[in-house]
Amino acid sequence: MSELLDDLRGFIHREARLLDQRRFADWLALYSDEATYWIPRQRGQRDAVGVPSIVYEDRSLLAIRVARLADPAMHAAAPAIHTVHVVGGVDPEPVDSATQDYRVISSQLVVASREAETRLYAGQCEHLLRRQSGTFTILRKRFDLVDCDAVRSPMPILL
Amino acid sequence: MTEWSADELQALLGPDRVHRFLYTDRDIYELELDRIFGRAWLYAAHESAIKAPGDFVRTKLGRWDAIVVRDDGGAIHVLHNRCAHRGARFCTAPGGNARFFTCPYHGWSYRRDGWLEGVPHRRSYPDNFSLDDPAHHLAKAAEVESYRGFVFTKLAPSALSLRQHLGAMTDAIDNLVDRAPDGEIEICDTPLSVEYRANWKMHHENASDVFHPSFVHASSVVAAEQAPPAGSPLDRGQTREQLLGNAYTRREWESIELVGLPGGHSYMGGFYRGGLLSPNVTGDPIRERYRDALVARHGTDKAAQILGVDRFNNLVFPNVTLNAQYHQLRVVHPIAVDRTVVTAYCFRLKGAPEEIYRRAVRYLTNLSSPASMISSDDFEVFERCQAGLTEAGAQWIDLARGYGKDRAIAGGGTAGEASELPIRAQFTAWLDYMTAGT
Repeated sequence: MSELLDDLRGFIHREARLLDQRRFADWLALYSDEATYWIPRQRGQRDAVGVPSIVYEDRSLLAIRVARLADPAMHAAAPAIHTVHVVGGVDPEPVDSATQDYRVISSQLVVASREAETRLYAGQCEHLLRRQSGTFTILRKRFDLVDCDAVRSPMPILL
Repeated sequence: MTEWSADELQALLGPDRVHRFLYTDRDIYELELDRIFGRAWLYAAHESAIKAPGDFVRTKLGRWDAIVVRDDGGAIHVLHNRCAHRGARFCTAPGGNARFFTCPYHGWSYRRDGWLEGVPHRRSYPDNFSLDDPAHHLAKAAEVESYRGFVFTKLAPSALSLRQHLGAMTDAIDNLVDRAPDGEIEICDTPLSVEYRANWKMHHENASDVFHPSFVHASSVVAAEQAPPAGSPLDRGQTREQLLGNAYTRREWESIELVGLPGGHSYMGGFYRGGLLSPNVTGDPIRERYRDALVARHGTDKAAQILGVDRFNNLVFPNVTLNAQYHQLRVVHPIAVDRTVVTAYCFRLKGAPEEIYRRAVRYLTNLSSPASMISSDDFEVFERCQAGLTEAGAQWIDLARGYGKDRAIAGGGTAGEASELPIRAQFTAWLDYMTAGT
């Protein structure tokens, strides 16, 4: 069991590191075809379709974001934005032994740097992961920003 | 502070160009707060957010942090969120319901109409201290008036009525409200707000600019073109279509009609042609149900006419942009000469299928979220313009596209295609406000 917990923790760190390494295609490959990626606008938001979100997308929409990030004509990310994810408090729990699904909570701080400017994004992350052939795929990722209700600058990045 | 005379202000604008100081000079910006945001009719709130007595929303109106509140008799007041005693901002909630507004410092409390209700330690005040003294009441906007649920306010009084101010822009409000089968719309209570580091006017100039999408939005168009045509099942392809909306050819962009009106208002024709966003979408059961509901209320012809209005941004100068077709509203708040907050909302059309509202929510998220794949590139270029304009260099900004070719329209204003006429209309009104009464 502790080996499994280590694997889950390792997966959460690896997902974050792929973003920091700007390996966006590899990052996207961690998501299942039906996966959703959600950055809520409300604290404790329950409704993703009847209430606006900062981001609520599935894998095919994330693929558009990833394609855009590779385009030098994405003005809002030129020059490129580099990030460091600091991941802590990773806390996995099994939610379905039949399907081998796990819910993993973590605290994440994303330091995003572009030219001389640094921006911070902090929040609690929730992953729903499915164990498949020795590895995990992401069914759901939710990133609850601590300042989800704040007026914010444009954030043309993936958290 | 540099004093700008009317002649000096006038000299900063030509018929087809403006001086960079209009975007960078702090003293001109302060004058704009006084003379435009302090005098013009400003969009303040939507009545659906303040239905019951005591319901209020907090917003920004020029220099004011403001509260828009309904009183016991149903009247709407716009109050300065600043205690008349020591000046504290007494309300920190974005909205809610309040019987009284009480300052956290010394407990002065105010009624919903701004009147001073009471002060603790009353005996310590001199005998001539009176709760009825207007000096002790909350500052209030001079005028508050609604047009079909849209609440506008003027901080200072003037002879101009709201209807005179809105002019032909009532069409845009009418069209939005008329789209609701029950004849009523409701504003969402969770807006999306973005702050960009550039002048407030750039938002308006961009909102009816047909020349920028091919360049500014190229990366989202290309990325959407690479995506499978079926689109995402999550939104039935709406996001992809919204990104592809900017894929018009130069010829297509240059065929969109633009209209500039007295008062600085303007609007442009629509350009979404694909999928659920098309004004003539067919084969969509949700849209069929919605159309049926509208036909039941208005009849076939009127319903077709309402749904056939294909306009994109409708700017009601100086602080609000409406998109009736997609049930959206954006309010522009100047924060500093080089800082602006845009707060965007969507509407629920009462009597329409709930899925229609969800599409408006999706539209809002796609276009107006800080993480938008569309507007983040707009804000980026605004910030780059601000950076460039702040550096001394050439003094003039060219706004000549279409100049001399614009057609005069009945009732005042101009129409045309491939033109910067909306910007010229904005600056005509700008100069009127800035030099009125001087």
